[in-house]
Amino acid sequence: MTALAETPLIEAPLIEAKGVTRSFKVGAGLFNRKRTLHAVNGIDLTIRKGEVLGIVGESGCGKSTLARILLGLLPPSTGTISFQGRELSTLDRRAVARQVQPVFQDPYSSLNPRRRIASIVSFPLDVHGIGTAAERRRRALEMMDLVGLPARFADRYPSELSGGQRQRVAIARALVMKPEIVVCDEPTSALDVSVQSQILNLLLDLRRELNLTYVFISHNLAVVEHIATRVAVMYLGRVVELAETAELFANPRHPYTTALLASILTPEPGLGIPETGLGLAFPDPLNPPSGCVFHPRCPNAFGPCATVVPRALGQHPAGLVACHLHDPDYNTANNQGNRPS
Amino acid sequence: MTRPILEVANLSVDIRTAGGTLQAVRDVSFSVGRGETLCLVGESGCGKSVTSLAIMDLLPRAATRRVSRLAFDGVDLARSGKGAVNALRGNRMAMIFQEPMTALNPAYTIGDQLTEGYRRHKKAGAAEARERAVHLLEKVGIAAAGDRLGQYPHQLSGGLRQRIMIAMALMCGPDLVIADEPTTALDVTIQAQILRLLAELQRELGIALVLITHDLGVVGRIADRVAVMYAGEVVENGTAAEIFTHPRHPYTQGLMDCIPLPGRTKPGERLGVIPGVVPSLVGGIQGCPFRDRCPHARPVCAETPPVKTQGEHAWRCILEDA
Amino acid sequence: MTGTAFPPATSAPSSAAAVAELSAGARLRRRMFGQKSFVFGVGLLLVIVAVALLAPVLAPHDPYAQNLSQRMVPPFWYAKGGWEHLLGTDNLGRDYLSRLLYGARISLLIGLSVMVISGLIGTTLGLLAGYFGGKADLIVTFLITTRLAMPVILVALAVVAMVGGSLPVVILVLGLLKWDRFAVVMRSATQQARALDYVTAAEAAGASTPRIILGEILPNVFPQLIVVATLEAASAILLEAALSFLGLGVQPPLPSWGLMISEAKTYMFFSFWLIAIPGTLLALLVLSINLAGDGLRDVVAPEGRG
Repeated sequence: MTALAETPLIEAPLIEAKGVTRSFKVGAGLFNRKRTLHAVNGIDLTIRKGEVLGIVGESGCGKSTLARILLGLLPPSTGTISFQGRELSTLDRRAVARQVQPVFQDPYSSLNPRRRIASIVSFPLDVHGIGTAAERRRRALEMMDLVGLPARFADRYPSELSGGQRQRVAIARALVMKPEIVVCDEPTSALDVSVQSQILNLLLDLRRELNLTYVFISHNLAVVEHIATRVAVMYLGRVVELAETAELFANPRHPYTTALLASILTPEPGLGIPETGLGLAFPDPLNPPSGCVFHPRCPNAFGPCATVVPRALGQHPAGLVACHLHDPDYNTANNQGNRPS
Repeated sequence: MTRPILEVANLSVDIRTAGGTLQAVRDVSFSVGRGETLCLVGESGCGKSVTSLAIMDLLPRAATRRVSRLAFDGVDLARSGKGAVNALRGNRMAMIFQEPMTALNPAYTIGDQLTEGYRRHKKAGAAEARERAVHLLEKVGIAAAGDRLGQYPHQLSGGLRQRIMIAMALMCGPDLVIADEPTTALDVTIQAQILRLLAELQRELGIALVLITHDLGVVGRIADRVAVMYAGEVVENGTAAEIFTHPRHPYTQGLMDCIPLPGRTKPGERLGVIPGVVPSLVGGIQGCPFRDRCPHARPVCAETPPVKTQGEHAWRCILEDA
Repeated sequence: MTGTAFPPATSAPSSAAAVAELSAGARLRRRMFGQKSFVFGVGLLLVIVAVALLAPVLAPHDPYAQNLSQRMVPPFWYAKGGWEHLLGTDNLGRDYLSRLLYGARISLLIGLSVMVISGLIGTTLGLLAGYFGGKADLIVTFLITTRLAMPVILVALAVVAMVGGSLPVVILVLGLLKWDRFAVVMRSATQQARALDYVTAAEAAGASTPRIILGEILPNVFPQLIVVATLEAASAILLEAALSFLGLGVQPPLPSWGLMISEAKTYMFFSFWLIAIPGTLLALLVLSINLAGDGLRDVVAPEGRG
């Protein structure tokens, strides 16, 4: 602990997760046998100040569970997670709340329909008992101004606002306590294209102005490429690849990343629809495949993939890839031909 | 050129609401050739889904449809009775919905739902219908097709359900398939697979496809022709190549600037925006519906904008080229 | 939203804009007066409540004063009726109108008290089960199932027969027996609200559990609570009438409408009005409560409809 305390805060990672797993018991009722779902399965992740960590993956990959863990709402089943060098279990929930705040996907369910906009934005201040009622309202109006909402919305209800305006309210609420990190869980997926670009611009502007750190969860890879500085690719509860954004998009190493990138549809007529080569065998998360969980869909699977769980292989400064194709122990002549191009 | 499979001329749909009459679709005209893919693209509330329901005569009770011509294979459905449309629907024209879980009936097996329409429209026996269902399930890439017939929708994944919806649409050998956001609820890799399948089947079977989507990426990759809708109107209509390489309407141009494009937009830079919000369609709109948000708007835009054309490319704007 | 089936109300800024053109108050008034059944229900209920409150002022006679020389006087519209006793007198010569006015108080008191007691129990259990889930949910579900296995009327009869019937006993017994519907409805409504992101956002803001339950969830399940509360109040009034009719509810000489029906049943064939008037009033009261509750749900949450 002393070593940690001596480290200057600026260099310490904001969030550090080590071997985090989270499992759920699935199966309702008194008499049914419960099954275990490993939503997040052994994740190591460091979030550094000022970065935008993109987390991509398809439904059921555990990205939303990871978001709840990072928000301090869900304790990990095993593993440790620390916020600015302090272990989560030693922290009060309010202390975590001051550092990490969420923005959710659906702006229609993320705002309490019975509260007025100013009251929604100042809610975190109320909870923490910061300032007087008048100060809190003034602060809410400042935040509304910051996210581009006119003050006349202060006493309206969410149902009177459009989707984009509501998402601005959610962002204002997330920022009202001046957190270090904002966890954005699919913040633009429910929005129209023209509104999406407004919200993305706003998030980028706010990051510059307030020196924020984002965890940006999305299934839209074009958006992630645009906003993230580093990207973690998740598959069935694990991070299979982690790299700087430019590096990941230019030179994907995991076959799943390759397939994901191939699936991006850009509006370029004449290119046709890409073949992902993934096949149809979508795994049952309650009964995941042995070895590498991706092997039944992997076009490059070979010998050890069905039996040996791949280890996370380090890759330049802050990256990793979990794939036998890149493991020197298996990197023999018999699979050279299967390497992705 | 052969006769188009679908011709729509001056289609308007009004929906009665508590606040007044919502002019959801206004004066929409387009046609779809045999074997052609037309994408109706636009943001929520632009009327693209209402247009498809109006074509299929599936509008809710509160809606009224006005159309000067709605012809399927040369027969004007607007002038023929309800029976004519019913005989075509599910038979020569089929529909695929966004959320297969709600479009499939959870109480019946996949087999029942696949064969029902076929047996009714084609007066076929159970064995023949079953044979065709197995054939089509294999065609949409479903292994162990025979076993799948006995399963219920909840036993299948989203991607498989959407494949079954496609197989169901193809059962009677349709000439036209209308797909409303068929891949929006799916994961990206599954989306690519389903679209690829749809495009392959369409080419192979010579089906005309009307695809309704908000995703310009999907449009760019699958469309032959594109109709861009805004506030209930088709504001631009042309071949995919023309629309994407040389968009004429300010709204289309604005949309293109809004999406991050790998290679074209610089990461972290501001994206283009369309300021303002869609106008209320309650009570009717005078002039160009986009003028409040348009960077090129002039006083003359308060009047109904002219339709300019160049070859197959048409756009509703005072400008030759914004 | 505007209440149309589509375009999908979840993402149509245009309809939001259309709604925003009216002020919140104007919209509320429009919704309230747009429903004739709501206006009728509330109007009738207000009349009954006012009459009950003003009973000492309005009643022409002492409801307990017997006058054996004036027994069974028919209402004024009968030939033998008179203006002295507008609605006649009962078998003990008590002024029927006065008894009805005071009886309204008893019926309303019972409906309200039972609603409050059972509402507190059921809402608390439902909120806890819905919010915490897991073991709390299993326990509450077990309690609900147990309670549903007991027939209300029989248990109430048995208890009243043992303890002796009186107004407080009837209220307490019914209050302790009728929380099940509150618990069932509040449990499922809370489960739904709990899954919404604004609850997660409140958790992420560090809000305490009581604050989330009372401040974020309760206001959003309120429309359902209102519906159950009115149904239960109406049903409690009917149950009291049933108990009193069987002689195990409110004890004479208290003027409860149920008791009045019970007392009148002997004279049903000779003096039909004795049973018809309180019976009609009881039906009207229950109807008005149900109409008001039904309308109130729509007024409070128009989006909650279908």
